[in-house]
Amino acid sequence: MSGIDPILRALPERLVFVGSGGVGKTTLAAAMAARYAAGGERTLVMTFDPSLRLKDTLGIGGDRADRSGAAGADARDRQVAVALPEGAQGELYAHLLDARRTFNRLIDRYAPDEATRQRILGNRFFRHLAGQLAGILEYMAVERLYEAVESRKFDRIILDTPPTREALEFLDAPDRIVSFLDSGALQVALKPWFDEHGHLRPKMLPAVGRPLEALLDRMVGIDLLRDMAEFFQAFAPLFDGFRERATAVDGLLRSGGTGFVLVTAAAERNLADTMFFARNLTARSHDLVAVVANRVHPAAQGPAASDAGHRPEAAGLELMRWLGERDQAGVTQLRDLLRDGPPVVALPQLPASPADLGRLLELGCMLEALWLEQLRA
Amino acid sequence: MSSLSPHSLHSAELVVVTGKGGVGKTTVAAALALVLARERKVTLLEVDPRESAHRLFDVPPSGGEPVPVAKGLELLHTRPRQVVDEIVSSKLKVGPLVRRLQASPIYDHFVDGAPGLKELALLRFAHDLVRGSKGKRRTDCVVLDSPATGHALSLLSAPGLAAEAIASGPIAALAGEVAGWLEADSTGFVLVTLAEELPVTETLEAAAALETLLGKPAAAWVANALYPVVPPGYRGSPGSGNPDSVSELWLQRRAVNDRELARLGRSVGRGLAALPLLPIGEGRALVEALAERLAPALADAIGGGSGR
Repeated sequence: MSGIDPILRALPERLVFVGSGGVGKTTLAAAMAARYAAGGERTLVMTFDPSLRLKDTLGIGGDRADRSGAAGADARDRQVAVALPEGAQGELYAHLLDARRTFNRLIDRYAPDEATRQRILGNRFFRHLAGQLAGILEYMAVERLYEAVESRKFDRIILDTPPTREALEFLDAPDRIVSFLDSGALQVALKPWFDEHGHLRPKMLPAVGRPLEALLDRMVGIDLLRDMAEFFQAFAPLFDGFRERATAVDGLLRSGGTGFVLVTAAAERNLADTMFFARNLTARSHDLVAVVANRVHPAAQGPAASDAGHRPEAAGLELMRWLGERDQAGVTQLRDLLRDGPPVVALPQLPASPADLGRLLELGCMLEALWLEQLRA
Repeated sequence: MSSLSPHSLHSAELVVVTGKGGVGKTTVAAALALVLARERKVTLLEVDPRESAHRLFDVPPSGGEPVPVAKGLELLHTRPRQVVDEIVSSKLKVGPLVRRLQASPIYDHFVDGAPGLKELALLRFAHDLVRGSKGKRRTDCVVLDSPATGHALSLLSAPGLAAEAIASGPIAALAGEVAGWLEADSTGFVLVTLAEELPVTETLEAAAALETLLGKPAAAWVANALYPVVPPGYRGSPGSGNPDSVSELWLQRRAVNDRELARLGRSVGRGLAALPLLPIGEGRALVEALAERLAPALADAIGGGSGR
């Protein structure tokens, strides 16, 4: 396996693959990681939601491991070495991320003592609700990226992002955590509303507290309020550590060592979303290194045969021609809209998704070649 | 396999349409709404913050107001935050207090962090569209273009979760009521997938989770965007000696479709409708063409089900 091209080697050492759900970014992130690893780099790919097949390909707890029992569970939430095809010059590690475990690790790290840790982990609000706190999953992805960077074990880290309803949620996550921690919610919630018997203290409900208390009580009853207050009290000693960390994590995403790869579908209807996201990335001073239009149908060669209409395959070929024209037009428009921006790499629709590491690597090589072609164009 | 008869899909109060990102969920929801609107008054409810369903009917964004898009069919976009605010207002009843609350950052984080509050409010909103609040009822059936599968599961589990986490108060009562509605025969969910390995696997997983959650199977499945059926004996058009890349792609992609349709068929039994890729750009013409195909496919798919 040849070394990776110097141009791609010179890309930021951390590449974050973003895009809406279903565009294939997980597979492309893994393919690119395989390519860097085969080309000689010590590479880590971090992913949230790979298919069973991709997990199987990477050996991080796919079907086979699950059937054999413990191996599948073990592979979750740690870095696993992936056996590369012969001739590979580097090393590939895969990390299947788990948001809840990451959160628990953070609590382990910042809890001053075991009692605090237990109070948080055992709190009903935390168990049921904290997992739903907006942005938690996204934040945990960046958090683990930060951890991997700190370990200094890798030449290249590729992060696949969780499927978000809005791709921008991912970028907002650290900010939202900081704003949550800084908000008045905590100042109010932290006040000891409850006495040692779990009763509301009447004097804790002055002007600010009263409407909130009235809302909560009317809406959800007093039990949830008690759980929340308990949670925030238990969590208090952890806030400073968390806030510092979230700020550092946000800085990492904006630093020169982090580049973004935006994966999108080619059809025209996706253009608005793609441009919206591309502009936002740039406006937030993130480094958008490429836009990958994925699953582009190839253009049909030559005109349709004159007698084609009479053949049974005519309708099928006509549809394929239409798909090709649709996607090619979408790519052309995208290139036009981004003409002063990052390269637009058009990756063809493949006959089937990569079934083994060899095929995954082939996809990575194809991505590399098409990427270089655009950079040189 | 399906416990819903065609009659019950056509008499449903709520049909939740869900599927993995990129499978054409919104387009299928629109086509399904169009089919159901042939007989009844239907509201297509969109909750994605980035409004897009209007483009399927060539109309401007609804901006939170219902927009008539076809005979018997209106399109409505709403934001979870908006419906939470409405519920809070109706429960608190004191204007100035409500306004003060809703202006505070505390309230923002409460709405964000409270268990399933937004989801609950959304379902309650759908419920009121059909059942009416204060005697006003505006539609016979809500077709909910739900968030992608993972999020749909949190959407539909929210009432149960909230009922469990919140011991008392009006929200607890509301949660219990909505949870009961979701389990009733008058509500159902439709799963949309591509006939490709990853989407099928994920959809089967989601279906199992939803079935466990709601105590009933999907009302119907839609395998969307199928490549054309390959005519018997056709082996690809010759390029330079071999089949050219375009016809080769068609053959291989359809082979994947066939394999995955078979896998779906084994898990789903009847209740599976298939929709082809069509050479029509996004817009009303596409939705109408899909509805034309969906109507018989659904009748066929569900009509042969075991009934109840």
